[in-house]
Amino acid sequence: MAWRLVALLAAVVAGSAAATVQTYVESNAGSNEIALGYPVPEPVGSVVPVDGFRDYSSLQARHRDLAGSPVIREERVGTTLEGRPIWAYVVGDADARLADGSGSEGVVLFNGGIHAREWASPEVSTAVLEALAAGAEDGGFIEFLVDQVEITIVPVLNVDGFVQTQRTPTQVLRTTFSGDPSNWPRDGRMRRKNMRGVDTDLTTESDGMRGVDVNRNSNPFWATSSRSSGNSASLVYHGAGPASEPETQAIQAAAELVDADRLRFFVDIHSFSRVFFAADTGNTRRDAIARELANTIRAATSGYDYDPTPAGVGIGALDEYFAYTYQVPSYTLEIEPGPNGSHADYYGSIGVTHDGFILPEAEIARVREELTDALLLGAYRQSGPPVALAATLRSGAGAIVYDGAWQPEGAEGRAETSTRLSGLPTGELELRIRFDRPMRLLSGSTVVQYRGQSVPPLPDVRFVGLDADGQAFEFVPPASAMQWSDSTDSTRYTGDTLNIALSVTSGSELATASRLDLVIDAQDLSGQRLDANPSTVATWTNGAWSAYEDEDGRDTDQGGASPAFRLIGDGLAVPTPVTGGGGGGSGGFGVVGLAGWLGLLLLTGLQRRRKFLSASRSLSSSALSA
Amino acid sequence: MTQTVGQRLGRSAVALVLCLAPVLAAGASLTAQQSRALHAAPEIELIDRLVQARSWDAVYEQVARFPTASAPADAAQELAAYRLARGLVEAPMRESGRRWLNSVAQWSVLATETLPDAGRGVQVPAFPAAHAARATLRTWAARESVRKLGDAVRAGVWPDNVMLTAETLARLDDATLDALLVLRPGDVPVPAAWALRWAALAPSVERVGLWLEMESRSDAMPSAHRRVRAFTKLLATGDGAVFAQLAAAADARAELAPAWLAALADVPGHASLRELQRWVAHPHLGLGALHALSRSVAGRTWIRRQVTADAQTTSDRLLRRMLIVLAQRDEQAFLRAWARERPSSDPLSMEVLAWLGD
Repeated sequence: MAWRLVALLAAVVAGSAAATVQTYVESNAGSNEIALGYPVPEPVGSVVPVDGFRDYSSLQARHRDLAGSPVIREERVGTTLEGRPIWAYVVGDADARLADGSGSEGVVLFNGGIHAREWASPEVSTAVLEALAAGAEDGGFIEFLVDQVEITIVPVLNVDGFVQTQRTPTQVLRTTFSGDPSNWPRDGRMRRKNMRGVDTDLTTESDGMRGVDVNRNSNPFWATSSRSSGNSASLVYHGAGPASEPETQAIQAAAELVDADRLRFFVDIHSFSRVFFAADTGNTRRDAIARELANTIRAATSGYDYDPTPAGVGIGALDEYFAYTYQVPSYTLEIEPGPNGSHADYYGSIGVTHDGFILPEAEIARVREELTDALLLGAYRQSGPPVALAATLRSGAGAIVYDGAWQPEGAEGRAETSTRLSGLPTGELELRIRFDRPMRLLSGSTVVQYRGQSVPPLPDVRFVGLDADGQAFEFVPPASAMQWSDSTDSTRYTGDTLNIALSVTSGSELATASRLDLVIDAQDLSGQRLDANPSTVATWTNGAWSAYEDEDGRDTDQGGASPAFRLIGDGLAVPTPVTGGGGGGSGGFGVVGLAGWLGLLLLTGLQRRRKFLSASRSLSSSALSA
Repeated sequence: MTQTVGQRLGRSAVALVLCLAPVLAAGASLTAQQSRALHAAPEIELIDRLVQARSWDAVYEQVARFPTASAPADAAQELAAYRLARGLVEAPMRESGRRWLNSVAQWSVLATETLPDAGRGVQVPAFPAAHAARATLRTWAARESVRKLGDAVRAGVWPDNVMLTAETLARLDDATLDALLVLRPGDVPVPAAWALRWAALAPSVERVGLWLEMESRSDAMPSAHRRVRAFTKLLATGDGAVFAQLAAAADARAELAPAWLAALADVPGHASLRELQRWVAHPHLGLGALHALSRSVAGRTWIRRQVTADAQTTSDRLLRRMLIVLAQRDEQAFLRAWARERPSSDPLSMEVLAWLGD
């Protein structure tokens, strides 16, 4: 019996060793003070973003105020151990359908504030909500997101822990817990976990190290790693069971708020180390898409890394839960500073262990803006691949001579409607190609790149046809004849329409074509290529895109050139979807696919093509104008 | 069993060597066991004892025994250098110490610890000796600046080549600081924190104006917390002219307004209440004003009165904002009563009841 008492005592001592309250100061550290080398941030009672960190009450008032917008709704997804509600905000229009009505919207989920001390995280998640609210009617990028995606944001998941860090924003409990490498700061400003078994008094030592690490509390890898612990005093205590914590249950409920089957993208926002962590699941296509998406998003940041964990191993983290459960691109975003102590110099700090969690106030506005842009770019990309929806050809007098469009058909599909031509009229014509989204950002009428992106300013557009003799030809309008629509002449969103000026001369191949297809190879502003076949609506299934065809009708997750519109001739040019291999299709491209069609061009029409291209050069220099 | 000190030290040394074997490579991550063993080493305890006792000659002896190298030889040496560098902060500033600190300041990090964050672990310096050396050099520079500033005051000339840092400011007494303001040429910029301290010492329109000017300089490191603290300090003086000056500045400069509203909540009183009421209809900052108002009993009383008495003239948005802040301040009874007065199908009353969990 005596030895049991001794063992019990030893366990208690190990879990609640002597502790001291220490205070962060800017400089001139005295006894039990830790100098950071820059002003110590404290929460500010401001509802609007400031150069600093807002207190929870202000953040929550802000979220609720934004939820007064018709495109944002507030939902309670859980209750913390201390009885506080956990709120989620769903941003999107009411219909859950794509703007053209052809299919269902994708769902995106962003989570903030899972770890209490990572104050930059709720600021970034709130900034995303603020950007969506502010831009809901911007007629461009944000309005498209509101129309085409449902974005659920949980700005602060671990509310109790966050409030605890803000209760004593400059103080920490320093312990000698046997599981920590040295005298690490715990509780107070450095609380990481939730408040299970913890009181709010920083000076009571016995409970200061308790709590559950909510980011070790999820399946499928709950309690399977040495990077989580069964010791309640550990920083990475995984809790009594998978999803034992109300916060874990709340984020799972947030995913179910809309329609979890439509989930396509998850990001859990943390700090620090300037990296996107991810969990490969072994689903080759999902893993490749997750990597490509991460690269796109990272390009919009100031140099964040990408670090995927191999399939089959994990630590019980949330990103693993969403990656494996829903087979979606799923990340742990670690906000700056970078790892390896590099933060110590670039903020002018002095290298205190853990100071990476205390981002200087002067940096947060920049971080909010950068990561909001990056995360919304990810949402844009996961809304689905771009589609060319309509093409209209007008005469110089303004009369419509061709009007082709892909209209919604059934629950998930589109059908082509068009007025086919027997031949192109001669003279000055204007072609307008409308896409389903803003394809470029414009400043006035000038195309500008989205943050960090580098996509060609103009797409590759060509007319592919057979002339009066049945000889293949193609005509490529010069760049000078093409221009993206600005706010005055766009169809639905600024930058969603490409205007092309044409001049068709009598006797030219265009004027005498017996069949004529418009082939568009365009990338959206994130570099994603077109869904080549608009008749099938791309959707996310089992960790990959389905019905996202390339020019040969294959589901490759890459898309390709889209022969979406046949101006002259019978049948459709779009490729028939095939599940593997290459080729296949119908109509003009049905026999050999677009690649084969272009190959055929090379073989049969080389001589004539050379002649034609020479003619088109002449056209471009004389008759065509942008 | 009885052990001599020597035996204990010998065993520690052996244990230390065994523990450190794997961490000699740069960037090697320490385990908890290794870290604890290093901290418990007698050399480290000795350094801590000497610094605590302010036995500076003995501390300098430890510095002198340190091999002059361009990098730490091992984690134990890095930890010892870290403790010494920190210990020298308040030591007499000797040339040998400065040379040693400058040398350590160039070291790269050897031993690291793994924070469990980021899931996969973030490597942070376990014993950031170089950073500690740089910090101590900065403190020494501040100590020298304080001396130079004192000399300047005695000579009656604004000093050149003095870094006006937060560390220097923290070490200056009020009298020296006040005297420096008189010497300062009008076109010499100062950090906002310095201007704030002048203003707080003796609030006047001129000093507050200087702070506001410095706070808005583009090269100032912005800090909302500093601004709130500054407004609060200045408001606490109760000076009507200063109040009017600050209110005008908040009106004119959007970047100052959020901090102004937060500070008004920190210094309750009739003037603060009236000023906050002036802001409540502001489309961008009105919620902030209401949020600040709701922190005081008087403010909540005023908001409740607006909700009930002025329903016809209050816009839907403003009314909703008033209800938001009341819901945050334990005003459930009032809100439920208000909701009962509305038609049961009224969306706003349904929303308010949902906030309350009804």
